[in-house]
Amino acid sequence: MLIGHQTWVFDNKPVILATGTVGGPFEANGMIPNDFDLLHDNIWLKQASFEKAQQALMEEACQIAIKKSNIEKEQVQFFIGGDLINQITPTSFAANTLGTPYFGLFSACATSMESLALSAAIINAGGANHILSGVSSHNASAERQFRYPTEYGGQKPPTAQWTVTGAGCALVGKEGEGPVITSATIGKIVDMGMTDPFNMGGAMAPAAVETIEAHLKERNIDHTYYDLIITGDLAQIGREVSLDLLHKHGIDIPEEKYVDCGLTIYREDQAVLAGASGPACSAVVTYGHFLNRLKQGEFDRILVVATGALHSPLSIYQKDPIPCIAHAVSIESGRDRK
Amino acid sequence: MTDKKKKKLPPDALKYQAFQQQREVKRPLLKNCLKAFLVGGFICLIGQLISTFYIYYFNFTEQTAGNPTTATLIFLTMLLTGFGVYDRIGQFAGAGSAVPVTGFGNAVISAAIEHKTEGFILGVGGNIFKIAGPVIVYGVFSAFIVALIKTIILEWGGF
Amino acid sequence: MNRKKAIITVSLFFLLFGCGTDSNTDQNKQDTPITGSNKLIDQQPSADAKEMINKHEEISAIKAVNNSETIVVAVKVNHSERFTLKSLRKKMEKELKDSFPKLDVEFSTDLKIFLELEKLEEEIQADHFTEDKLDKGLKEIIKLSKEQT
Repeated sequence: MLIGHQTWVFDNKPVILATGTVGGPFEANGMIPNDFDLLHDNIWLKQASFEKAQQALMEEACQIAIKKSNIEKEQVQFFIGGDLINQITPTSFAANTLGTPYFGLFSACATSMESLALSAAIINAGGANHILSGVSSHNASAERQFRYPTEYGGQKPPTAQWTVTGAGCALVGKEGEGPVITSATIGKIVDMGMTDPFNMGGAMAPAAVETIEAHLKERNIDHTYYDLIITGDLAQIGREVSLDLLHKHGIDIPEEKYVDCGLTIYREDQAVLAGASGPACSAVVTYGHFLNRLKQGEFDRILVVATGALHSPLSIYQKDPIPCIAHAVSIESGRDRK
Repeated sequence: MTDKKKKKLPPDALKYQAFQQQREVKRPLLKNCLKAFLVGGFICLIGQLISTFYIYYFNFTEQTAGNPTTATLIFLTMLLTGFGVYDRIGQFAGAGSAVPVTGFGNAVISAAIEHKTEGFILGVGGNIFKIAGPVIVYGVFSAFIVALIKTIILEWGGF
Repeated sequence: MNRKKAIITVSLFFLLFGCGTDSNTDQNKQDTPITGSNKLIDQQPSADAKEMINKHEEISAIKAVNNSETIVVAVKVNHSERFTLKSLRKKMEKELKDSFPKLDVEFSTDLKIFLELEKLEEEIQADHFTEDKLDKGLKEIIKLSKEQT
């Protein structure tokens, strides 16, 4: 299973049986509303707090994923998930509602692929038959924790990003119909001394580059092996910087093959500045939009690189740099390539 | 970041930061200044209108009309903040909507709204001055320093 | 970049000093008739004060009312001169105090006092106006002008 230092190849081919994606009103206005299973027209979701709303998003995403597959809730062994909020409480409360044994993860916006990689690894090793792997984020709860109150009229720079309100969940199974998880590369922390929390794309870009490089090297493949390389939430600046870095390092990925979830989810005229971010960003766009396109046969092999900025408000105030990470998971259609 | 701090970073990081900086979208400074000037000026115009209104129709002089004018402006800010408009104005105007008293009002009110879910004592009470608090602390502190300097010069400076 | 800076500086200059010249002030000044003698109360000091203060270029309008003990004067200052409001006020107040040594002089540049004096001036012209009313009115205006925030 392990090849090289940080890459797993899954010989038993874990399958993504079904996915559930839920979004808020801002996402409904975005570029890919049809790729969501459920869209809410209010960010409160009729809950008492934004954190509870986030929990509800997570629960709904899991329920939808289970409902769309033909397995029962009782057949799911584990729930692996996480989010951005302190001590990942929304995910833990959602795990309580689900009632399945639970692993809680924190890798900020990279949690989506971290959980998918771990689910695949456990299933590949025979540790489980079905695992739910999901993440959630909520714009207002993230704003409150990492930035200012939602209604505060501070001006954000053009490098700032907009946290996605939503949740994405993938039900990974040992066997069945669906896209296959073939490999995963677990990233290292990359710290380039960047300290601006309003420019996370620029901070995370080298982490993405490092993981992509390691992945290609350890699997001994060329970037042409993949039809699409998808980054999590690098947004405008991060995408440009990482693409230039990759080119500089001799990996000539053409621009149209290198896409970013943070630039896919919203329309340009939605005031999101550099683009979208949040764990749910890579999750909903990958599990919804890109897997749909994969299933329709538009492409066969994708590499999803979710990037995360692992700072806390405290570490920023104490002038610490932003530690960044990126995890890559390759998903293939399982069809034979023409 | 200051140059002193930068020296501690490994050369890789320095190289990357320079690399990244070229691609970073800068704040449009001149445009932002102009927007801030216009919106800030517009808020002041509204304030002047309210002030004049109080002078003409109520028993306030130019001196005493300041208080009710401020209160009215903050009340308007409260409505705009509550309806979710002020943060959009803020994103457009920057300092133009942050520097007038409406910006201070917005900082207090938005924090109060945000932390309502944590209860009225520890939530609203504890966090209402989260953003505005430093302004008050250092406003009072610098006033104290200025008063101290003035006293020393006037009392013992022999003027 | 240098050119940009120069443009900003120049445009700021025009923005700040562009409205400096005020040509129609002299017409405004005359809209207050410099009369004011009434059958009941002698408003001659007020008329004198008006004439005196009107000589100043910086003033656009003036109101004054007096009784036997006090004289209250309020002026509107040209907007471009408001930067030197404090020294103007001082100068005129001194001038008035020197000219009316027997009266208590209250001088104000406040719009509210101006408006109140205007009202009072009109009331004086009415037939049934009494000295009591004048005293009361002036007292109220003085009290208003002393109010602090």
